[in-house]
Amino acid sequence: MTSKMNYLYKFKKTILLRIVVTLCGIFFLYNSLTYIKHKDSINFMDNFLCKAKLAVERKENSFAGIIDISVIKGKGTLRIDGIFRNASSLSYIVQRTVIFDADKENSRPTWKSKKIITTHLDDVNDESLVTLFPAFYTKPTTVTNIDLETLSDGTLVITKSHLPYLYCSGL
Amino acid sequence: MPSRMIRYIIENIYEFDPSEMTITNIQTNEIVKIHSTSAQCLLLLLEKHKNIVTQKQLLQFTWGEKSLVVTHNALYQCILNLRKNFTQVGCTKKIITTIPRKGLTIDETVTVEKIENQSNSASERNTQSPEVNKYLPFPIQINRKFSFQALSIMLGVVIIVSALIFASSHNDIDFQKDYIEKKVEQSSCKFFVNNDEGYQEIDNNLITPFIKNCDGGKFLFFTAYIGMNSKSVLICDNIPGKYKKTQCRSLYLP
Repeated sequence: MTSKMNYLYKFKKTILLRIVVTLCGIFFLYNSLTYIKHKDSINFMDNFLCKAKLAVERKENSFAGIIDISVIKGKGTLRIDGIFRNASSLSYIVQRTVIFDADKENSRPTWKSKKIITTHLDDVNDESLVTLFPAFYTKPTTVTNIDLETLSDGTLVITKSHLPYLYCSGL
Repeated sequence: MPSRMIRYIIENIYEFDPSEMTITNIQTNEIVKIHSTSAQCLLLLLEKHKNIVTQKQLLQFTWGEKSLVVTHNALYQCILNLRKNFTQVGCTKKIITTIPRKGLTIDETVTVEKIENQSNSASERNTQSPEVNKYLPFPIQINRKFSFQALSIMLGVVIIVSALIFASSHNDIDFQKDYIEKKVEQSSCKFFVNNDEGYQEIDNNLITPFIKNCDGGKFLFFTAYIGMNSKSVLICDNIPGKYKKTQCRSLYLP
């Protein structure tokens, strides 16, 4: 009788242990896969890509176009391509690349421009452009403060002063 | 290789199995698992039934070489646990008696029967160190406890690591929860503003052009904050963050 009880005790203990180990294994596997899936978004401040459609309007000036950002290990490039219109409805092409350092200040991203490269088509003057964009787009060694947020589906949203600025869903 | 399996029947009711480290009430089938050191203490007391066992003997038998660094408190904790274990299986009789300034005993008023048989179980092979073995009349499985402890630590580490991974992977933002829908009649688009502040800051003048130019069930998210001139509008073909393929363009009003 006692040996039967002992056997049952051992049997239950073994089964329970196996269940616990299996559950822990599943939990660990699930989290590892989730981690791998979201790995890029976890380190999104240092490594990410963003393509977004953007329009900016202020008074009579407006811009409509595409912004393409690439940040790899803290080194970034921002390509802006679009049309700038002024109060006289004259339109100008904006087509330039900003090379910048993507740093972090208190774990918040701070982008500092290093070099502005314009294409031969870019004919907007910087004085007009700064009515809509920060000096980061026109002058080296200027800073723009942005925030990066990932949504539940993994999409990156770049915000400025808590306002959604770029929705990186591609084009 | 067959090994001896020894059990003790105490008071014809309680069975002590040293290899399994259990005390069983044969009448009620209640089983209690006891600590390995407690099992060792009980074993020696049963072996020296009717005799007084000194603290030194108990310490040496239970902890071997380590007995020099083990405090007497640890020994008393063992005895206390044993008494508790006997109570747990329904024993009201005092099994272990303290003899002041001498030691401990299981006296003659307590009946003890020793049962021996053969076991081929590999799990019951002795894994004790030689120093301890010389006191042991049969194999006791101490490594089993160790493996349980190691397994518990391992599982604990796995759970902690998993929890950290889980926490770092799930810091995503639910975009829609910060917005409330603003009802606009006669429009196939849906308009959202960022909660209370958006309601105050975003007036109809901002929304009206979008109502007029609404094309095909778009979702528009207006964001503004009190004291800030800048505003932003996200024009999406679905709710952001809800579907992977949601496309949005942004209008920024600095």
